[in-house]
Amino acid sequence: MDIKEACRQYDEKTAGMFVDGELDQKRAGQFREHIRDCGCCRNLVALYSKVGNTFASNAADEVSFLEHTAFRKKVFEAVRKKERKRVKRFPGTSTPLKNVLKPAFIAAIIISGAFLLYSDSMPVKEPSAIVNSVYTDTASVMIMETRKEKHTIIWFSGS
Amino acid sequence: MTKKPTREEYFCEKELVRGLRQGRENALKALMERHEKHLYTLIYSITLDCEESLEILQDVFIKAFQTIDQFRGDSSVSTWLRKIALNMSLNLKRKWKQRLRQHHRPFDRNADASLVETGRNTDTPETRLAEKQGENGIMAGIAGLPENLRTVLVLKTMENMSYDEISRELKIKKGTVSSRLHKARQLIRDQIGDKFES
Repeated sequence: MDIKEACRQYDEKTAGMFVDGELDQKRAGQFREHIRDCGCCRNLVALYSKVGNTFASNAADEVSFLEHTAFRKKVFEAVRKKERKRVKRFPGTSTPLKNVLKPAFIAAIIISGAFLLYSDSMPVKEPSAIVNSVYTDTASVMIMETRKEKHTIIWFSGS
Repeated sequence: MTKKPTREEYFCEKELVRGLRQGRENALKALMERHEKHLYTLIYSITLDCEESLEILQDVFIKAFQTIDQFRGDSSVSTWLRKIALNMSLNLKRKWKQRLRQHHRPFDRNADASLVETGRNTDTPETRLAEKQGENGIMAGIAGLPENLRTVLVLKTMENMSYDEISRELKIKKGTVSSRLHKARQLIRDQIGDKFES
């Protein structure tokens, strides 16, 4: 029977939906009954099923020649190549190393800045200034004074 | 098909995903062992070119390995991989390359050989010839389909997805899925003409 011959009861779309399992139970039952007597719809259903089967078996035949080992080796090589260019991960985690280093660097900058900012109010031992010094053949004396507290330091060195 | 993983699959997948996130090669190997055949078939069904399909398949696994952090786990790994494979297969750049190749690659290359090798004993040579011509006609019809029609046909026939699932996957209306399938079948039917015997 010519597959293009039209059925008066059902359209081609219904035959397609029947093959696809998209008709509800009631309509699918009615259509199943119908194709017992309608060669036109039966042919369409057979053709649509054959399209799916032929397509699937053709694809399966074509891909059956996949050389798994060679293919996987190729993927590994490509991945390793890309990995070398890729950022390193933080040990023991999936977090990229730069995701850890970046905040750590920013935190270090902030802490250093704060330290410098508050360092004026913190007690700092300043270097002393040399007030006077005497050097002889047998000894040296140096008199120093701290800048803020004005403490006098006498440094003596004998030979 | 947005298939939710079973409890057993979930734990296996969870381990697999963890391994991939840690950059382990044996996790990638396990991923390939599980999914390469299915994905290769899917990609081949869209491109109809083995060489092209292998390139895409390789890219799919590389991308999956590198973007595993983006996998949220609300679908199975297989669904996620299928999405990547579909996107890559439908990539615009490849599309033109693929079309160019198809112009030089008719679908009757094995016709004569398989007639001798694969026929059933009860068939007559005439029946086998008619059957083979029918199959070649179907494959030629499929190869000649516009990509949007073929993609819907692939998801229906190869992935056995429902119209709802296809509409979600391709972000088109359910009615459009039905129309595209109908149109695809009409074009295939026109291609095979009277070569088909039920």
